[in-house]
Amino acid sequence: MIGPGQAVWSERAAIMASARDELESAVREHSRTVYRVTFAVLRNRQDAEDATQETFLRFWQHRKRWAEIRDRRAWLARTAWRVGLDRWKRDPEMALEEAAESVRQLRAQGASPEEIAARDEMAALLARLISALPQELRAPLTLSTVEDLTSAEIAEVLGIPEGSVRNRLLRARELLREKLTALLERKHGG
Amino acid sequence: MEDRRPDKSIDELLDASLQRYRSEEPRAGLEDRILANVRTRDLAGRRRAWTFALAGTAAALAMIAVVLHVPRRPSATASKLPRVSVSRPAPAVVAPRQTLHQVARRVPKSPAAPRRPEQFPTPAGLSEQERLLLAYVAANRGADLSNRVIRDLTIDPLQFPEIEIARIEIKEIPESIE
Repeated sequence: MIGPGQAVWSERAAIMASARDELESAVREHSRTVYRVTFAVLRNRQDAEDATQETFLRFWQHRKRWAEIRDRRAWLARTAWRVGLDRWKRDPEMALEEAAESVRQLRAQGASPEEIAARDEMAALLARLISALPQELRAPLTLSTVEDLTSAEIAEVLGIPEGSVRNRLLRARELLREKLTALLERKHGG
Repeated sequence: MEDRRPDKSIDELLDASLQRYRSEEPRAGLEDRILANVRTRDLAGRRRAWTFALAGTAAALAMIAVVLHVPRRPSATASKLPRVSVSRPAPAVVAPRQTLHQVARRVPKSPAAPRRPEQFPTPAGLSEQERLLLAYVAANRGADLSNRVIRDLTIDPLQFPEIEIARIEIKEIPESIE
C-alpha cells in the first residue's frame, strides 16, 4: 500500500527524471550551436565553454517553463548571446597598424587570400575591424559567423525583422570592405 | 579592369577571413562536461536550499522553546517604582473594516486557557464557614435551634446611667462694668 506522501515523492522523482532526460537531449542536440554563438561573441575557447555551461544551467533552472518555449533552439541561441555579451570584455588595443603592415607585406609577396586569411595577423585585423563596427551592425554580423543560424533565427535572437538582418549584414560587410581597403591600399593610394 | 583588381582581391580576402573567423569547433566531450556541470551546480543549489530551510526551522523551534520555557519576571526597576494610574481618555481609533474571518484569525489563542469543568458547580471541599455552620446546626437540633438562634441574635438594649445636670442661674450684670 502506497501512502499519499510516497505517491507525491514518486511523482516528483518521475518528473525530475523526465526533465533530466530532456536536458540531456537538448545538450546533445544544441550544445554545438550554443558554443558557436558564445564563441562568436567571446572569441576564446575557454570563455566560450564557460558561457555554454552557463547557458545550459539557465535552461535547466527554467525547466518549469519549458512548455512555454516555442522554439528551443532559438531560446538557447538567444540566451547564449546574452550570456556571451554579459561576459564579453573588449580586447586590449592591438597594434592595428602593425597587423595591417604585415598583411600588406604578404600581399606584396603574392600570397593568396586563403594564405593571408590563415595568418594570425589577418585574424587579429578582422577582429579589430569587427569590434569597431556600430553595435547594430556588429551583432548580426557576429551571429552570421555561426554557421548553424539562419537569418530568421538571427532575427529572433536579436528581436528584429528578418529583412533588417539581411540589410544590416550587407551594410556591415560593405563597411568592413571599405575599412580593409583603406588600411591595405594605403601605400598604393598615398 | 586594373582599377577593379585590388577591390576584387580585397573582397576575396574578406570572404576568406570571414570564413575562417566563423569556423570554430568545441573540444571533444563538451556535452558530458555540460551535463556534469549542470548536475553538480543543481545539486549544490538544492543542498544549500535544504541547509537554509533546516537552519530556519531550527531557529524557529529554538525561539518557540525559549518563549515557552523561560518564566516571565517583572523587571526590578518596574517593581520598585510606585504605580501611578493615570486615567486618559481613550483615543478615538477608527478600526478598518474587517471580515469575520480576519477577526477570527486575530483572536489570540491562549495556550494556558483553563480547562472547562465537566460538572457545574465544580465539586469542592467545604469552606471553613460552611463547616462552622454545620457544627452549629448539629449542636442545636429541632426547636432548640430556633430558640438558640433567637437568643443569640437578640441584642440587649443599651443601659445608660442617669446624668444630673446642674441648674443654670442667670445673674444681672453690674453697672460698673458698663
